[in-house]
Amino acid sequence: MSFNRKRRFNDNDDYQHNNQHHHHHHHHSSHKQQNFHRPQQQFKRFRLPPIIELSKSVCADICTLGESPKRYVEDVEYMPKPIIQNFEQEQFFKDAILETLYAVTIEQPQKIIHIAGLIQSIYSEDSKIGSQIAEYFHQILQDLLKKNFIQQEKKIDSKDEENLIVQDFETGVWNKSKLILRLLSSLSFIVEHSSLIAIYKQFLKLSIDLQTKTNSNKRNPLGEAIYYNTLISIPYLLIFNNDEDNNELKLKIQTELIELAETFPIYSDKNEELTITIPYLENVDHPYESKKLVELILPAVKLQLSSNISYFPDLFNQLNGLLKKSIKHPLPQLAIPTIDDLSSSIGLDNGFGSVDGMWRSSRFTFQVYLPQETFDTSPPAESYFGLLLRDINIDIIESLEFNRKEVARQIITLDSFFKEGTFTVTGKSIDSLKQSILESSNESSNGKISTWKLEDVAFESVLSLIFKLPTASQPFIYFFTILVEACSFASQAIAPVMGRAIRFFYNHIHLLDFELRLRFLDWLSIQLSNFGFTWKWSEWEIDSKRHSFQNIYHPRLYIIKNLIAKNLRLSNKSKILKTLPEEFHQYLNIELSSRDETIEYYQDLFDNKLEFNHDGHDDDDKINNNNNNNNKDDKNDGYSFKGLSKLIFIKDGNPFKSETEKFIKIVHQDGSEEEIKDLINEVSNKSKEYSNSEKLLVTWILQTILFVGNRSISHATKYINNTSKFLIDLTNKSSQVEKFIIEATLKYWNHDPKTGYIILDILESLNIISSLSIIEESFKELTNGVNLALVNTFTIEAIWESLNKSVVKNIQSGKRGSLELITTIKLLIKSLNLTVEKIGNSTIILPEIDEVKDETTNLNWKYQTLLGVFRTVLRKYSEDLQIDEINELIKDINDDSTKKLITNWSNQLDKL
Amino acid sequence: MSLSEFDEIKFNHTTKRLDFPSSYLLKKARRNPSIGIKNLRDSFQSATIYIGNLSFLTTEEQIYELFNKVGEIKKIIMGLDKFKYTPCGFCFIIFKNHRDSINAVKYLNNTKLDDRYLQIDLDPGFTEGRQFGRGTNGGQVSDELRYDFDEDRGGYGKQFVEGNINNLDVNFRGDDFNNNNNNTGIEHNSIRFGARRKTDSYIPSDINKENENIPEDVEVIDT
Repeated sequence: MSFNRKRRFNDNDDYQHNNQHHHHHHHHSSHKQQNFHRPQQQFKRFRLPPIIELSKSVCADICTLGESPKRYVEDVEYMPKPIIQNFEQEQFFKDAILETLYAVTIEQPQKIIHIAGLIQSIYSEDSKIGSQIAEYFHQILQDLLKKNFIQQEKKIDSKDEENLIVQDFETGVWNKSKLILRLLSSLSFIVEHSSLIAIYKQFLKLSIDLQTKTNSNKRNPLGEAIYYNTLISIPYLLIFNNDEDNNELKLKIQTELIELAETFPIYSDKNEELTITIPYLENVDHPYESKKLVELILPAVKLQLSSNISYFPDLFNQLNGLLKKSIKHPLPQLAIPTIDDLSSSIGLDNGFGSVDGMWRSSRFTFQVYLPQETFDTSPPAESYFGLLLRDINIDIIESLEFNRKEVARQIITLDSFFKEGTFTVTGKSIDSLKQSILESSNESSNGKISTWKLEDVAFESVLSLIFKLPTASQPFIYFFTILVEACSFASQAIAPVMGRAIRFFYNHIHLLDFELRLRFLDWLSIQLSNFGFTWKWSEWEIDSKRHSFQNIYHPRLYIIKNLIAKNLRLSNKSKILKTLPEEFHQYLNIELSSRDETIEYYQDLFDNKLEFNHDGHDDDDKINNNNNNNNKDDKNDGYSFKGLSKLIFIKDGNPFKSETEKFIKIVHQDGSEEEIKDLINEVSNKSKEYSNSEKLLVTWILQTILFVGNRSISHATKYINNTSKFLIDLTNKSSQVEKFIIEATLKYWNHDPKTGYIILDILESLNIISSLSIIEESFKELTNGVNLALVNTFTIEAIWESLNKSVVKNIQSGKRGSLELITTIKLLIKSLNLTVEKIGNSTIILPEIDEVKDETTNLNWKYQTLLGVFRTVLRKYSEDLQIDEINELIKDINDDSTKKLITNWSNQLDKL
Repeated sequence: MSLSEFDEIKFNHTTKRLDFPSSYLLKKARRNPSIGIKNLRDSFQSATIYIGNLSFLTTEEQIYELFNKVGEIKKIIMGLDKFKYTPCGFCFIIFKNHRDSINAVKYLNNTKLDDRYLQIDLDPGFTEGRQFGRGTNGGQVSDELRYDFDEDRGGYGKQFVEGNINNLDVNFRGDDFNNNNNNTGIEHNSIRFGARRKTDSYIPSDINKENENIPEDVEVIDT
């Protein structure tokens, strides 16, 4: 940076002086004020040159412009002065201002009209500087479009290459173009209307060309994106004009833009519809009708243009004295990329920025807060304002990905940027809204009061991103913690809104896609973990009472059980117990197999020669006795284990007790291979007395090692690592032995299955067992009718983990259809057939959610879950699948309607 | 002295990035900028993060469960008391992918685990020995510098336990101690102090003297 340190900036002082009143802007705090409080520090402090200080303070004000609606006019009155006085003289300052204005435009689009007001009042004072700013935006727009030019690609130098790498917070070229267009439109007081209309026409024409001149028998994602982006910005043209000018402008919009937009052929073919990405099950009634955004935008804009209601604040009249009518500035047309230039980006499939990428498949409305009986709590999803608000929220969330706190703050205070009275008071409850409506209709005085809750819109926007299929735009944890931030930001107002969302998903859980159920669980566990795990569990008591015995596959039971299991992972038993009503204490036991099954497993190993004394204290008793003491449990070397010592082999009377003690010592002290081998041989010989000798030996080795490493995953990893060479020899690629190992591990960690699965993952990464074996074991139909993959989220997570690894490996080696994936599909088909067979003569149905009937109901829930997992597997791993291959597999499905449904999914996979 | 790109004034965003090095890291780097800059740059490339302000009772499994939501974890190294070998309230996580460490800072810093706000920082990479507390008592230095009662971190800070508290000119508040379910076994006199930091002006000079022996960078965390 170059600047002249000696130069005097009289206006700097003036600016700071003026802003002494602005206490509401924390950025305003000038150095002088700080000096007063901390004289000591000042001497050490590196003093920045005045122009940099000035840049910092003006830019900070630009960034917060509009956050306090009452101060807006005052701010716009003062801010142009320092800008105009330094803009031409100081390159550093000028760059800072321009860059900041651009950053606000693309990161906080709710403020676009507010900075447009500032730019136009600068223009009124100094048209030269004002028009430079307008031209700067025009140039950025042009540069963004240039990125698409084919010839540009050929001469990329290293600096350009850097710009091409999309970062997390990059929403994409087309989304940024949308927002710049929105800003330019808001400059209609100072920019020639014909220039603006011409630019709109260019974008609309491009979208139409894309849809018609490429493959018109297919949906054109880029075409739809540009069409939507352009139309949604049109009403911004009307914000900074008087009525007379607006009437003239509206006519132009109608004849030159709307009529053109009407020629965009929205691609729609019911047979080609992607049903596999709908968030709800097919062929059932959904909680609301989801509509395609691309079909909504034109009617919504038309309605908005013909209506007198505007939700934008009337900045034009507020800035009345500051905006002086003068000659408008012309802007040239843009150099638009050709269809050929864009041929590689039409699909918007990879590396195109987070928001642009959302257009890859059709975008639909997503609702959580359905209308109440007599009123809406948010602007209707199909209305212009409804679309715009969600569009703005999504842009904020995606482009400020690097600061979730700011995102939460902005989306929760978005009402400041719209007309007063557009939303109801923050935190107003549904009940009190009902009351207000009643009162207002009785009095019939002021007419309409707003029932729109800004919090609803904010939450719905974040949730729409969490529940987006087939993929999400950011890591889920980002969205989860935005909601956590929003709740901490205004917990009183937000908590009920959160509660309504949780209830909505819980109530419709049986209709929700299986993968989304898992996301719901993840979200809920993070949310609850941040707020002391408090939830009104009593609401769900009735479902637990109804279904806990008969319906192990009941979808609500799935949520209840697995949520508690996840909560336990994030906390501990005694803490979670305190948050639960008694009805739910049964779910604190998250054992994979029951006590009887466990005993049976070990008896089987020892030819029924083991003796189990039933002296063991119950887990639950233990917790009740030591409610507040977590330490005690840990001191107990083995984990508490309903009546069974954690390691069966060191129990008194176990035939292998002394060998086990020896082995523990060796493993612990990292003994020599010789030592291990000798001991193993000894035990191997001894185990021959039993009929399952190999299984017994493998189980003994594995469980003893796990016992030594039972203090944490790190310990387990360490001891498995130390013995890995030897364990690899043990399995020797025998799938039989691998299954012994898996079973031994899960039995050892029966009381804490997730740890068991993590250890399986460690064993897999050391090549001791294979992903295939984990998958096969996980989908096993147990004798009691349980299929763990369908009832336990830790099991399904282990399956995803295994599939992720093998699919990535497979694709990287240029192949398709990994053995693991094919096996998964085969196992699912096998279970489907088995389940349909068991359902027998009765028809397959989606049971009523409250139904408690018989085993058939339970089997129907199982069938629905299987379908859900199937749908998820196809969608998640479509990249590794070949349609012909799946269709060949699908032939093995016995039930015709099931076969038809799944064939329909598999035929959609190449469009994902 | 300037820390190169880390001191650069930028105008490309409307708000600060949460994946910027903490003030602690910057302060530490400023003491020796040539090594400091390298450390800062390394911490953007490494897959390691530091997590502080954990409860002593928080387990590796709990940490795993939360951070696995950010990305695949290669290793968790629990911070241990150097004498007792028990967890002393911090840890390192090494992810498989270095971007996940940045995401962990962005998305999870200042969220809660076990009802405590996590303090997550970028880290240039773990080296052997850093898993131990550097306090004279074996734990983290920060626990020796605090005066408040923190049930999850061993009760009172060392300052209190060793009686330095008597020299303090603080406002004793015997009336509002409401920690009813305290069961750490540590005796307390039904008094409670607000959280105090060594920078607070009322700390008498003899305590400041004692602090001089402690390396300066222990103010907030221990790495």
